[in-house]
This record gives sequence, structure tokens and C-alpha cells, in this order.
Amino acid sequence: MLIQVQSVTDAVRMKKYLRNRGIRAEVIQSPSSVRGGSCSFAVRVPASASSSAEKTARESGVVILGIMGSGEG
Amino acid sequence: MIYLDNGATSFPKPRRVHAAYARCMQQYAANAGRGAHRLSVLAAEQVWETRTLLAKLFHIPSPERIAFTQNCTEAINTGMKGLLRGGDDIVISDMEHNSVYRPAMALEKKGIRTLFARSDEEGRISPEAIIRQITPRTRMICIQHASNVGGGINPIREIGKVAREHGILFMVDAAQTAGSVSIDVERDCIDLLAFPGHKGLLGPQGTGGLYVRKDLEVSPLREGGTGGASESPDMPDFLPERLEGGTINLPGIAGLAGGVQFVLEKGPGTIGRHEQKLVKRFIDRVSVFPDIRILGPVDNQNRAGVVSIVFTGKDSAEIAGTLDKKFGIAVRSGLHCSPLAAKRFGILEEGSVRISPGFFNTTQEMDYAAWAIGEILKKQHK
Repeated sequence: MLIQVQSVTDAVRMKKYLRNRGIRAEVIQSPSSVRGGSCSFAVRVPASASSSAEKTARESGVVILGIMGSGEG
Repeated sequence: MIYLDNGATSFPKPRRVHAAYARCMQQYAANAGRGAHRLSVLAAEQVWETRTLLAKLFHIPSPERIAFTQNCTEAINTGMKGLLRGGDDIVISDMEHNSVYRPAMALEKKGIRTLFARSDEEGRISPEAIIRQITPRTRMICIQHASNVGGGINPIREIGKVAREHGILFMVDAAQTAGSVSIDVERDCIDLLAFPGHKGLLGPQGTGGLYVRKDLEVSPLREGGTGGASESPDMPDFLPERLEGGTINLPGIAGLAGGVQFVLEKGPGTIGRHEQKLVKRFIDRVSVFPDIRILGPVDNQNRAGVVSIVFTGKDSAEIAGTLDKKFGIAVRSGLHCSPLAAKRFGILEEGSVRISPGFFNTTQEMDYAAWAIGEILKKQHK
């Protein structure tokens, strides 16, 4: 699952927030299929954790631009 | 060498500052936010860690509302120039450092009028003095938390309340207090807090920051790359990236984290009280000398770790030079980049010698500095 955010600052915030709650997460540069022509950042979470991660991410207070691959578990 | 010039830059720094700086340079000094390889992410995580520590220190609810700058001056310039427009008034005081005075004067050319609140004899600014300068056009009050010349601490909480009641933006220049006096942006009604990293926060030079209150939109001082939304011709509309165009000073910010951790562990109150104690000790010893004048508050509780002395009929640079060369004591002389304060204290011609101890100085060092000044005065009287 990819959580698309607006900046590297928010990506790091999101990663930290998820990890503090026991969810593995890593900061990546968004793939072109997600980012369009722009440089942007996303947080990748293993598919196995996607359902809890989505809920947790939405509680983080970090602006989320989009969530891809949600519920693919 | 006994270093008593912490008002300019703190020295020495805690060991953890050196270690954090060196670790960054050796292990992960990549470009934060430019790519997502592991070193770049480590760099970005360090930057976030430092923001989080600063937010804890200043009671800032959202660390992303802190933008890193090169120094306090850049932060003040950003706050002023990013918010004020032609037709606005700004209230500053007659004690401000050039970091406030010069940008205000530059803005005069763009139709922004500066009004000066009058300080008292000790160089402190009262809320009433501020109120007297408020006009229907006043958009911002920008005041130093403490004077870098007289050392007087201003009642920012009360001034902040005045600003809030009048619907005026309140920016605080915390150059002399960040790290040694408690600052709470919510309690003190601060909309913008400008601070240096290299003074009381004990970080390396080239670091500083600006806190911007939520929902306040500040135009950037410079535009450039931010690592994201690269296709847009405009700077992002969110913080901190909006105000951080170009590569930031990662090693400095890593070192700053070490300094802020140190401050958080000791507590600004403990650090401030130690510095006040040193200044009081020094004042007690030099105040018996003839033909000197001590600037700033009589009550030590209202003084930051700064004391300036005027030597009647003597050149401050000469005395500072003798302290350095003969006694191994580093102090600053002159106007201290604060011509307004020098004018207020009536010392534009001779300037003053400023003694500004830090957390690592001792009472013995203050005694030695006072003794050295006594020796210089004795020789000059002969």
C-alpha cells in the first residue's frame, strides 16, 4: 500500500507515526504512475498491514494526498 | 582563553553537538528531501528530529510550523518581509538589534512605516510603551525578548496579550533568550518566533529558525527547489518547505539537535539562572570600580546573561583588546550591531564592553574577569 503525501517532511512524519504504532513503513519516491510528472514522496506499507495502516495513517494528522493499493491485503 | 562572548555565539558546545555534527558528516550527509535513497531519508529524519526537539522546547504544537533558516536574522527578515505590505505599520523598540532595525528600515522604502516604542532607563520595553505606538494600520509588533546590550528581558507575555487583543501579529526575536529563558509560543501569544541555533541553543553557526503560527501564510524570502512538486512554478503553500527553498544545512541541524537535547535536559531555567548568577557575581565585583557605568536592569531577575560596561572617557575596543591579549579573556566591544540601543544608552561614541557568560563558565572565571578589568583601570589611572 502506498500513502501519497505532500512532502518529505510529511513522509518522515507518517513513517514515524506508523512505526510508533507497530506498522512497518518506509519512505519512497512516488512511482511515476502515482506522481504524474512531479517529484513527490510516499510511504510504503506491506500489503499485509494495509487495512490497519490506512486507519492509523488517517489518524496521524498528516495531509494524505491519496492511498493506493488499500485493502489488497 | 576564557570565553565570555556567548551573546555573539556560544562556545564551547556540548560534546554531543560535536558528535552529532561529525556523525552526520561521516555517515549520512546526503541531501534531505532530494530523493528517497536511504541516506537522504536518514537526513530527512534527522531534520524532523531536530524540529521535534525545538517544538518541545518552545511548546510548539506542530513541528512542521518551524522552518530552518541560516540564523535569527534571516528568520526575522522572513517574518517581516513575508507578511508586511505597503500601507502597514510595524512597531519595534528603540533597543532593537540591526536584525530587526535594518529590515524595518528597508521596508520603509516599500511604504511600511516603523514606529518605535520607547524603552525605560534600563532598556526594557513595557506593554504601555507598545500600546502608545499602535495605530489602526499596525500589522505587526516585533520585539527582542532580551537586549544584547543591556541584557534587559522584556515582558513578552504581556506584550503578546496586547498584540492579541488588538489583532496584531506578534514576532519575538529570541536571539538572547532561546535556550536560557522559558518560551511558550501559546502562553506568550507569539505568532512568529525567530531564534538562532548557535547561541543559547548551543548548536553550530549557520543554524536558526522561524516558527510560524498555524493558519498564518508567510511569503518566502527566496524561491527554489524543495524536493517536491517540482513541476510547479510556485513554492509549495505548506510549511516548512514553503520557507526552505534550496538545500538546508543538514550537519548544522544535526548538531543543533545535540544542543537542544542538552538544553532540554538541563532546562532553560537552570541555564538562565546559572548565567544570571555569573552576571550578578561579575557586577558585584566591578560595580565598585570608579568611572564605569553598568548598562541594563538593576534587578538581576530581569536580566539575561549579558552585561555591558561603559568606561568613562575610554575606548571600549582598547579595553576589550587588552582583556584578550594580556588576560586571555574574549569579550565584545563597540555597539554590538545595536546602534539604537547605543543611542538610547547615550554611548554611540565610546560603545561598551559586553560580557556574556554561558552555561560552561564558572564563578572563578567571572572573578578573574572582574579582577582583570580592575587591573586595566589601575594602570590607566597611573
